[in-house]
Amino acid sequence: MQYTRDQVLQLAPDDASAKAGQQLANHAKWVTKSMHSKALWGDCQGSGKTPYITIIDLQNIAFKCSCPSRKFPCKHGLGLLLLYSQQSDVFTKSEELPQHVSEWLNKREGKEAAKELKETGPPDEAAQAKRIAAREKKVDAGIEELRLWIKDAVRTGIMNVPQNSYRFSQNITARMVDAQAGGLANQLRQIHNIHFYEEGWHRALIKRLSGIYLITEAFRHIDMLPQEMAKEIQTLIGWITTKEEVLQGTPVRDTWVVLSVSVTEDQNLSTEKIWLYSLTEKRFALLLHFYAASQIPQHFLFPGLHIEADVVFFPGLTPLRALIKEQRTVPATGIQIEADHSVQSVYHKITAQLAQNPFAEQIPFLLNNVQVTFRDKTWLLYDHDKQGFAIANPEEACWRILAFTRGKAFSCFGIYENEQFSIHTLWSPDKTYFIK
Amino acid sequence: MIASEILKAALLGTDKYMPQPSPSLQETGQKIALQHPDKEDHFLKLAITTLLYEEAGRNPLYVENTLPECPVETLPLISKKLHGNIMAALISKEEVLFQYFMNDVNKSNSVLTPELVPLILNKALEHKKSAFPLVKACGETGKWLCQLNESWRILLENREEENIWETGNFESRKAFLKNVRNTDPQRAIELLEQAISAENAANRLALIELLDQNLSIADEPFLQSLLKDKSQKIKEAAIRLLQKMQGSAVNKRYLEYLLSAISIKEERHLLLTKKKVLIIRDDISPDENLFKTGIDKVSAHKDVPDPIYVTGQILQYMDPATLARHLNVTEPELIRLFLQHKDSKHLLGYLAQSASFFKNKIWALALLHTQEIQDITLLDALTEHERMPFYEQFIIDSLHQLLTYLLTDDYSLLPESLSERLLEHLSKNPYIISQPVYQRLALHLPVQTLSALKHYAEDASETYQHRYFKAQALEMMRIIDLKNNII
Repeated sequence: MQYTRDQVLQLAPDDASAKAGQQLANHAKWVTKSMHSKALWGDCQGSGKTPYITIIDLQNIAFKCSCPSRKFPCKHGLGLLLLYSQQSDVFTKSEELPQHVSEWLNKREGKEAAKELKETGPPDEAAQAKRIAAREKKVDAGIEELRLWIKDAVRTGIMNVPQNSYRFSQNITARMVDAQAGGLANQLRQIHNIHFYEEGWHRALIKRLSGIYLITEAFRHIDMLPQEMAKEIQTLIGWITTKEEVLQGTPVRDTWVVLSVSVTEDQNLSTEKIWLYSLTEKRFALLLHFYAASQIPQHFLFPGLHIEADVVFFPGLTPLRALIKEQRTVPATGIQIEADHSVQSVYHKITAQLAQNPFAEQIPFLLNNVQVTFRDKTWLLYDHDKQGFAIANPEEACWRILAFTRGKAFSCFGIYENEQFSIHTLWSPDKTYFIK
Repeated sequence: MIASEILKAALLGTDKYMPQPSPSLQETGQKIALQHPDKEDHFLKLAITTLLYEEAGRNPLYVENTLPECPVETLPLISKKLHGNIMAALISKEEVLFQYFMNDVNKSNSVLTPELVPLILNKALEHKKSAFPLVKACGETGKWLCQLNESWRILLENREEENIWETGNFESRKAFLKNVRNTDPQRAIELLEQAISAENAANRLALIELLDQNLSIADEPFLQSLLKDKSQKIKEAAIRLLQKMQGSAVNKRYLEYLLSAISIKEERHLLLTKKKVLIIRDDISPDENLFKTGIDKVSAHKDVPDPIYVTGQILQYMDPATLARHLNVTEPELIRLFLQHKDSKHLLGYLAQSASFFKNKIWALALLHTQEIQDITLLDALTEHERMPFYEQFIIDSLHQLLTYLLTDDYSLLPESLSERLLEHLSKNPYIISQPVYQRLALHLPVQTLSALKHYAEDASETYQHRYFKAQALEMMRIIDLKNNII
């Protein structure tokens, strides 16, 4: 698959690597550079005497380099792929893969197979049940404390919370971690994302507190809940469905489009959200990856990429979170998805989703034939009936949206979250634009 | 808002206020009330039910104000490749390449892709002085966005010129005056006459120095008035201009002295031919007042006789054409006579300054051909094409100034031999220019220099100096490749 310069640069771990990669996209810096339908490889003359050996798996994009860099992909990998995207004619075409390249590719294939073998093995149900029983005890105690804390907060009122917002939920969050209710701890951490200096903070805070209370209430009656709802509540409390369990689920095999990739950082933990959409099944999937400060992404999915993949979903009421079981990149030239044309349909979807799952945090949507405008400082997206909603993207991003669309109708992918709409990706008949 | 009661209770606390369910949630409220163990439990369940109910029942807004569509671009959009290169230059903050790409956009009469436009307009705001080409490259999309965005609107506004002079910052006022001086020299004097007294000494000096352009006898009264300025630096600046001003009182005295000190005589040569010779008399003492106009009386170098020193200093302020006319010789003849004079080596610097200031091509060419004088400003008297054969002679001694002639805004390519000479010199003195200048130079190098660059890039020497130049050579190769692969 031929990657564009923009796509390659999106793989860079940071701006410095992007810059260094561009400087290495220079055929003079490569002692050898060869291409095969499966891979690219080359020797880059660095500061030492021995050149660095770089290999790129073109089928399932991955990098390998003999340089000591801890960044991934390193500048050599980026440089080689950039050079290929700019001047593929300077590469020597090879019919055969050299030994070191074929060995690495085979090893990768072997790893995938081994992973699948391991991941599809049967779970140890007895051990699992034992673990759950032991943990339930701890969680129950934690939940009782949490309910008491929430009640205390609403009894005295939340008026003074903004003055000490950080410490407001600090202790109880730590207590939830101790009680092995990581999901509840995460819910409490969301309180830090409330803008306490902006209008409407009290609504957001009380909604979060009462929402957490509702989770604990549901957990108390979990035996009376339908299976999917019970699973949803367990996840919200902090029970993790293991990767192995998820991978046992029935996969959705389809061509998936990577609609957006975004990363948020909180206390040395980066959360990467990758939204996919299946072209035949017309289904969204959310891949969530968590990286500690020193970790590096292990996948190379960038917006606009089309993959043929088996995607398995985590269990829940309205499953969105998913894992990729197997994937293969397919050539594509941008995003073209048929979707609703009316903003009302998005509202209907939100209503339906909340009715089905009141704990739904993120509701993805697609719209065709919409436009943007602004009034004072508020940016609005509207349809041909002039029905619209305010968009929560930063102002600078809104100007980029307007520039890309030039005031004309466009299609978009967005997320409804915390009662706000944000646009992640736009496309017109001939172009796609990703808002970072 | 059906949640207002909930929010009120949340702020005050349930001890002080307990909300009632909204009319549409009466039934649910009753159900919750029936099961409540305490009022906080009741409130929290009512709160989440009300807030979710309100959220789930929201309807779209009616949008009244819409925006006009952007007019159709009349010029073609840049290629995908150039778009990618500009984006990459922006991300990696490669200012030299960015400027080149923008020049390329305007030169090829194309416009930027719409998604680049906001980024470029923001850049134009950061560098208002050079904003015009950037805004131009943004095409109709840029104009349309500037009309809609208050911050960018300034990029489209043509501020009233008089306003700039009266209320602009010093840099914009200086630029304005420079522009006026080029188009209407007398108007610049009028503006200065009105404003000069209100300026501080440093600003007065900077503004007066702009009069060097299009200096004429009409400026004399104003410059004479500055001789009474309380700042010594202003007086000196005024004197310097009056010295060069052909026809000014000072310059007339200089001419009088030169005509009395310099004469051209015919001498017999080998008893057969006659030969003109230039004589500088050493028995003529200038008027003492002449030394009050910035001319030194005594030479600081023992080899240079005082009369030659005084004559030289005065010669630099004299237009070669005027002098030739008064001495009844042609300009080529006069420079030849000066060059043949026994003390010519002491005069060359002064003659070069005169040739360069008065843009005298004949003298400039004659002096450049002597090889005895290395004054790069002589190139100012020549056209770009005429300068070409002389560039190489300035590589060693005046590289920085030479690059100001070579690295032009139109990114014209340098001749191969000159490029190779430059690279050879730089390989021996790699730190003489900075990395951005190497990048800029690369944009002027012809593709044929790639082999020379490759030779430097493959240099096996491991000395720090060689490794540094090797890195620069590789970077220049990358830029040449990039440039040749834009389309």
